[in-house]
Amino acid sequence: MSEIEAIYRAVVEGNVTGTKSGVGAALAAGISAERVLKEGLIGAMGEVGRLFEANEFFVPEMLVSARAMQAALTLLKPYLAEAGASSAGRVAIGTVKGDLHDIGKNLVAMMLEGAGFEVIDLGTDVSPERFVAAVQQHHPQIIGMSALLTTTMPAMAATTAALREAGVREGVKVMVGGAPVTEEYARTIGADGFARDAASAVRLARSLAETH
Amino acid sequence: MNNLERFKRAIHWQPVDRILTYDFTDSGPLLEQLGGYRYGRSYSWEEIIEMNALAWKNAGLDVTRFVYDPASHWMGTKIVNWIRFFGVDPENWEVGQAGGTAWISKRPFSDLRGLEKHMPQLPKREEVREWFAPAIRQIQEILAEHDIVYIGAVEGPITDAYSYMGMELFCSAIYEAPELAAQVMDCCGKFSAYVAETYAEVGQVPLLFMGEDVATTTGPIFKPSWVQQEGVPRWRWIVDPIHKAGMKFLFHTDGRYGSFLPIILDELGADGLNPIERNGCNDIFAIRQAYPHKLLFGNVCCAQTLPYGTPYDVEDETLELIERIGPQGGIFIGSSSEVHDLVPVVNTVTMYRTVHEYGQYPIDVDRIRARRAALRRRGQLGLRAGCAM
Repeated sequence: MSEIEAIYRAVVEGNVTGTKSGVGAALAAGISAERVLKEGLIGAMGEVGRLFEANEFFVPEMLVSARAMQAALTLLKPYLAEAGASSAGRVAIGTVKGDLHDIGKNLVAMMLEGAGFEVIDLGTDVSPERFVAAVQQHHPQIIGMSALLTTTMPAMAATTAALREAGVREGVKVMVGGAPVTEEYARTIGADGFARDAASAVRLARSLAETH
Repeated sequence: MNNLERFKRAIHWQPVDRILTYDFTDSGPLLEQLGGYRYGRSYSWEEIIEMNALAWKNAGLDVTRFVYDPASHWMGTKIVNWIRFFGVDPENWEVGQAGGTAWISKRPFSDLRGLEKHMPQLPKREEVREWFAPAIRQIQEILAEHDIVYIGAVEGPITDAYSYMGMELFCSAIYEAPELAAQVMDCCGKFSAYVAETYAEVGQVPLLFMGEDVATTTGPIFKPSWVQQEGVPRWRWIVDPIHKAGMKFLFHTDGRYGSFLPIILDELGADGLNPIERNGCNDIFAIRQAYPHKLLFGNVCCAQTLPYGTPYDVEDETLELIERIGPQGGIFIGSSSEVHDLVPVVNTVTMYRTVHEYGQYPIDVDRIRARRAALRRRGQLGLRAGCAM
């Protein structure tokens, strides 16, 4: 098994120790950090997403794989920075105002990182003003909003309105998700896309980043 | 016939005079407008129960499982129970509350090592019984005076465990420290089992509800085989004393039942389901067809129809349930999950009053279909304008 295959397998299995040692071995063998990222980590997280959509992986499996990926990414980041590697895009993500649920948002953030995006996690209970400030400060290509309750979902509309009022809406794509959110609701509030789960959020983010 | 008599007959599929309404209400507007609650004032627990009962009576709600106190979110009660019955450290727990929702915002641990120092201890049966017996009697007796049926409710061991640990830590523990996850689930399961036994002993209402959120709108949170392995044996601690007492058991999960249905209804032997969320999650009519002898509680959509529909939309969705499932019995009609703050009071009242008016047995299907046709002919539907009859 090659070093890349070992990393790939360790990530899919959620093996943090195996992933970290695999990254160390790969770098020591002269494999570039970018190749480790693309073929090892991003490739593995793509497989994790596929397994999730095939109902073979569920939240715990996705989470442990994402943690293994994050552990590897922490090791790789200095090498990637040195090599001037570019990310797939920058995403600022948060759970909307009044909503304290974070598991869905966290999973999406981890999967996006695993797909090579730079993720700015704004946390939970994020007001429209904070989303606007995040756009002005970090210039993400994409804003991601999560809501788990019907009662907090209207904050998504308030946020897109706030982005328009601040004059930054045109420069950023907005994607939304969460239990009560629907494709139709996303269209109603003028969002650019809706993702039903963490795996499809990655595909959506890639597509939005390409059209940005 | 009072509502308790109706309820007892209905859950045993015996003839009754009408369909009962059932719901979980955590609506401030409902409590204010129909119960007389005023924000900013302090009330005793008895006053809170009375105001809820008044609101329900005025709205037309017959059966419920939750007394809503806007000043005290139920998440805080969880922590109180853990401290009281599991012997956990009372320090460093916090509940954050915003916009009607609450979550545990701080725990005395943040990783598995920290959890090991804050593991719950198994509850003691007699302590649980001593605490809950008078509380159960009090609520059911007060509500019986208002002809409201109050069903017992407990939390499932998986849900309570991930509430205790936090979902991310719980998910990690499943793989990295399964013995810790198991111990927490054991404590939570035993606690709910002792509460269930107390309901079986002193409760007047012969049905218990267990809330076990193992699914989302898109499907299972956890691998179904894992849920079967870890959930079913612990669920039996709760179900067995209930069935032994001749009571019925109602299973709850948010989201899509899907592949869990055979586990819940066949293997575990649950007698019914609530909630039954819509929005592409569950088809209540298909569930009834597949499981014709299981009780169904719900399911006017609380994500779309109830908050954003017109009263006529609400009426039409309610009528559809009465028309298609009512004649077979075994249905208790209300929201698909909860009546929350965004649901206009007029929509809540419309839902229950529609059941009272059209849910009389024998169900007059022709009259219902005529009414639904009229709603369409007159262009009175909004969200449901495109829905076939």
